[in-house]
Amino acid sequence: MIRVFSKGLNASAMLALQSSQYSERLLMADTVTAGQSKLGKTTVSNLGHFLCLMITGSFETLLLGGSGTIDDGINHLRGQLIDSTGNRKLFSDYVPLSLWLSPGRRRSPTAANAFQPDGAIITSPAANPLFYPLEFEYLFAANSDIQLDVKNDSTAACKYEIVFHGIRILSGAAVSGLRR
Amino acid sequence: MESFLTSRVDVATAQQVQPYFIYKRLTLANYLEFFTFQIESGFNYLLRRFTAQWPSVSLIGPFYGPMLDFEFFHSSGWKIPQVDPIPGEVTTSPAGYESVEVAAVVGPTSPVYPPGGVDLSASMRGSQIVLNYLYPWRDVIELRVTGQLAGHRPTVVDILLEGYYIPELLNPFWGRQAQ
Repeated sequence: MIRVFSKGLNASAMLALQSSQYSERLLMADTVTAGQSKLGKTTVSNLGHFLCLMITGSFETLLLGGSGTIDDGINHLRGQLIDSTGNRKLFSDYVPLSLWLSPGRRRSPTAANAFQPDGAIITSPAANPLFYPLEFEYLFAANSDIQLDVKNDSTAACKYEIVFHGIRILSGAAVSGLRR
Repeated sequence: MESFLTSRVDVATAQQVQPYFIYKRLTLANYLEFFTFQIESGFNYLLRRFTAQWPSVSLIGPFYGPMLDFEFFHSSGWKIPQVDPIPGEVTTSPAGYESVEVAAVVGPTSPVYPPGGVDLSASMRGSQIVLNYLYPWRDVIELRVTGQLAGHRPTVVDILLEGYYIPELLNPFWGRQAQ
């Protein structure tokens, strides 16, 4: 952890640097229909390269029960992360989302409509609140896509949201970085 | 981690490494099972973290809370970085406490059918303990899974290795001979 105020700050140098590099988050959110796979993606645009440092994400755990959609807390989503540059796969296989995403499972508002035969509402247990961003240091090139091929083996559609936390390196800064 | 406010990111340096996560679902048929993965030619592999997850109900039972021990083995150096196999419960969190659901709702020919036909509960993410094991290129990552008694073992264990491929830049593979 850097102690920001432990040294004198050079405001003009920091502002100059921030004009070429700044913190950014890229969101990928999608819904995968029941029993299907779907390729989700987010675009790294032509602003510049994107140095990803961390990943966080959450997803639903829905299932179509006898009396409606229930949230049983069972993970049904598996994903393969792909850098569209050269179609480079970053996982060896389709990894269950619960193994690498934090905070992970979240309760879904759509599950509240499920009823037991006696009329009582089926309530899902609370999700686990621990929050551990996943270290994931990788440079995605400008104009590329971050892709996630997700398979859903549930009988209900499940939604996920993933955020890539990192640094946007504007094109000019990228060129100067390459030149050293 | 260095603050990006005080230093410029060197793109050439940032391009050198690539995260690569290795996942495998291991079926536990015997007392001792092996997880192996061969590193690609031209890359070293830096293993950062290890996460495992398995059902809380045994194969024959019901026996609850089956336990597994894990031991990494460096085959290239013929050495074991641990003194003993370490119980998974204290290595990754929260292994061995997963509800299980047999995914019979989707046919086995479907592309989304989970290996082994089993889904596990979505618990919190695994260990943050950093291992930093470095495997040279063409080495084999070997993880031995033991500790389960007959009948008490779970059907499957999900193993995820989080790490980075590091190009061996002095390797002729990249066109730059060692100098």
